[in-house]
Amino acid sequence: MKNKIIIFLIIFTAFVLRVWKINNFPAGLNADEAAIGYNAYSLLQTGRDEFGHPWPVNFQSFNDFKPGFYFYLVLPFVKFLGLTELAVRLPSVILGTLTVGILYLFVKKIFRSSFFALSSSLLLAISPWHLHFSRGGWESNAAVFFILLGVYLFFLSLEKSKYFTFSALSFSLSMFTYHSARVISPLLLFGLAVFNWKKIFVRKNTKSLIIAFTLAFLLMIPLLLSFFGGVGTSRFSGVGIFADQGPFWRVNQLRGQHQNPMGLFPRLLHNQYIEYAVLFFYNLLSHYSGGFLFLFGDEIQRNKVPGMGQMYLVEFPFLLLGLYYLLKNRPEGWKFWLYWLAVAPVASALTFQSPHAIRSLNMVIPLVMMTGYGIVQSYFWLKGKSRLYYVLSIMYCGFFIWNFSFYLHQYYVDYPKTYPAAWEYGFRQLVSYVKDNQEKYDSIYVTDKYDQPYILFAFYLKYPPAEFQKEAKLTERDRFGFSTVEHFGKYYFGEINRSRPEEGRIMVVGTPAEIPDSATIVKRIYFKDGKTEAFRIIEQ
Amino acid sequence: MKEKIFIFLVVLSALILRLINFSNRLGLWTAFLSALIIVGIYFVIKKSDLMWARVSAVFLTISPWLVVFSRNPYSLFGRISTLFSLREVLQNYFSLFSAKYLFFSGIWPNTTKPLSYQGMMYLMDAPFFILGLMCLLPKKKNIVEKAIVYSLLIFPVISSVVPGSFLFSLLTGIIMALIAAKGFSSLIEKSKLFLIFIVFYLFFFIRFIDLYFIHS
Repeated sequence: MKNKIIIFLIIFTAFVLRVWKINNFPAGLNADEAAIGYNAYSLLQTGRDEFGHPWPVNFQSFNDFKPGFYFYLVLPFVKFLGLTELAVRLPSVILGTLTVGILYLFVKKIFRSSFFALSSSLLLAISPWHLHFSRGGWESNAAVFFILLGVYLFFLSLEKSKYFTFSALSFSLSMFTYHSARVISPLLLFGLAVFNWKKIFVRKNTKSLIIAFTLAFLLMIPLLLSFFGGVGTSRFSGVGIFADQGPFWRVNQLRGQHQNPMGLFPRLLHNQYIEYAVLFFYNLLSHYSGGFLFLFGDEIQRNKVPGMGQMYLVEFPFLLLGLYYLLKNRPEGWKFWLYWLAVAPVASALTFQSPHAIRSLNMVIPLVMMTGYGIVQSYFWLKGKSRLYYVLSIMYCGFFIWNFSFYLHQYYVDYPKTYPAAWEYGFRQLVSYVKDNQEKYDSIYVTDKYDQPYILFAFYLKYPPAEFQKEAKLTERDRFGFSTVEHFGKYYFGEINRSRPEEGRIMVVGTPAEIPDSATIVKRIYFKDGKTEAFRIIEQ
Repeated sequence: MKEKIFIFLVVLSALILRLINFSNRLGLWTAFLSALIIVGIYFVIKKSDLMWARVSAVFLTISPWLVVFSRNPYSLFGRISTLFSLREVLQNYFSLFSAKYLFFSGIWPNTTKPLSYQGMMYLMDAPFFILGLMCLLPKKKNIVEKAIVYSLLIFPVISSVVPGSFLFSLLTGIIMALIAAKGFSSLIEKSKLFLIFIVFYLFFFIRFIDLYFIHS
């Protein structure tokens, strides 16, 4: 009973931390979130996505073909809450909160320790890494929920074989939700099968296994079919490891320093296979660096809170202790646990931006478990040493509360000031102004200095999807494989200094770097800090 | 007799790697000192585990960390800077264990031969370091194993609070090589897969020699 109350409180805390001021923090709405919302809106209105594809498995969006399941999860929220930030983010908030509950059930099931389960779920509830991506419309966060659920159901199925089907369903859904899960889920399933080989392939499980395999196979058919055409290669060619030309030039440079660059020895020693393999391992191992985990976090401003790593610094000693006790005690399931930690960043390592907090988000599960295990084992070690135990516990709690408060301060106060443009703040205010004044203008030109401005306009304008589908055309892919829309209705997006019509009244929206102080500025839009200008509007 | 031949080969290889094209007189002494240390460590570890001792001697002989610093002994006592803040200490500490430093680019002494694309260890050491920890941590440890585990805890901390000196990072490197050797020796005892790994090690060793003597 006591445990039930505690886990209820932890889940409640997780929900509050995830939903508190969700409309305003993160400050703004990023282009991916806007794309999810607008495509869901478009499906509701027309039964087609923004480019006219009926009920797609992968959404074309910026030509990055986003896996579609999160879009469909958002759909009912857009239906009932309208096309708002809340509607896009609420499914992620709910799934993030549920992940905390599932982790409790999972740890309790495997390790039969309520204390360990409670400490792990509490750590996940307040984890900066998990909180960050639960508070935005991130498909990655939804995929982590389905992955963890799949793992939990798998362990349930070792006792009741009917759960194999649900586990297969959950893993399949994760693959429909986020790109990385298409690599991680099969790897985890492989690990589960290898480490539990003798328990799975027994006579009594035959029927359930056949049903589970059949279901997974049927679900994979549309996914596999969707890979034909542009979908399969588009994303990987854009952000995949081979988009990094570093190894290619390195090979050239190193071979060139040999007397006979095309000789067998230089070719054996310096070739792209080796260099890309080395790069892959570099990417993989960079996810375990202390700098990434505890000091600086991801390099991308949208994925990080200033002054914070992906985890709390006070967790570091317990993570080490957790690893130590894990190797020392070797509790049931320890091999799979370590295996998960090892493969978690594989998908991220296959891309050229590493370490990457979104693509490796599933790493947070084995990491918080390990930290939780370190705390639990330290507790048992200290228990006999009563006075020392109290002093150290109080000190630790004090440090933890300080670190947690520091994170909240950084997130709610410092983040919008330090990285004002990270979440494309200002578009809501800009579009509101444009809406009120657009009748006075024949055309409106908007800068493309911020990521994918067209989708933010379509989102905030609630532009009729039927018209958008007719008018919008994607540009050619850039070097990262992304495209954009340069024009719909009276709105034009791109370089603001490009040629514009001589006649007619035109509104031009640019950044302070593009529109000088000497211009006649009719409106200024500020970032969340209230001081830094996001947009300047002039008339022509 | 077998042991004597092994030690002779280790010392010979260590000296060749450290003395070929050597450029300063002190390097001559540190090359011999380095070989002596390797032999000393071999005999200390031998009391605990013969196979581990042999692999350790080989790993220390070919360790990029040890080879480069033996050839550039002045850098070990470079300008020591003063500290600063807890954050910087932590930053130093974490960077000692970062993949970039250990396996990919390292922080090499500022000499006339800058070494690129080579970490302080071989990439192949990474799995064996983890395997070594898995062998060392769970069981009751003898004095040698205890000393190695405690050194792994202490040396990086000292190295982090005394930035600029490479001495303690070198000592950390020796400890890490010994742990990787432990992992590798445990594999030799259990599986024939080690032959494949020897081929990989050989490749990375040749690559290091190539990067150091041809490209830098």
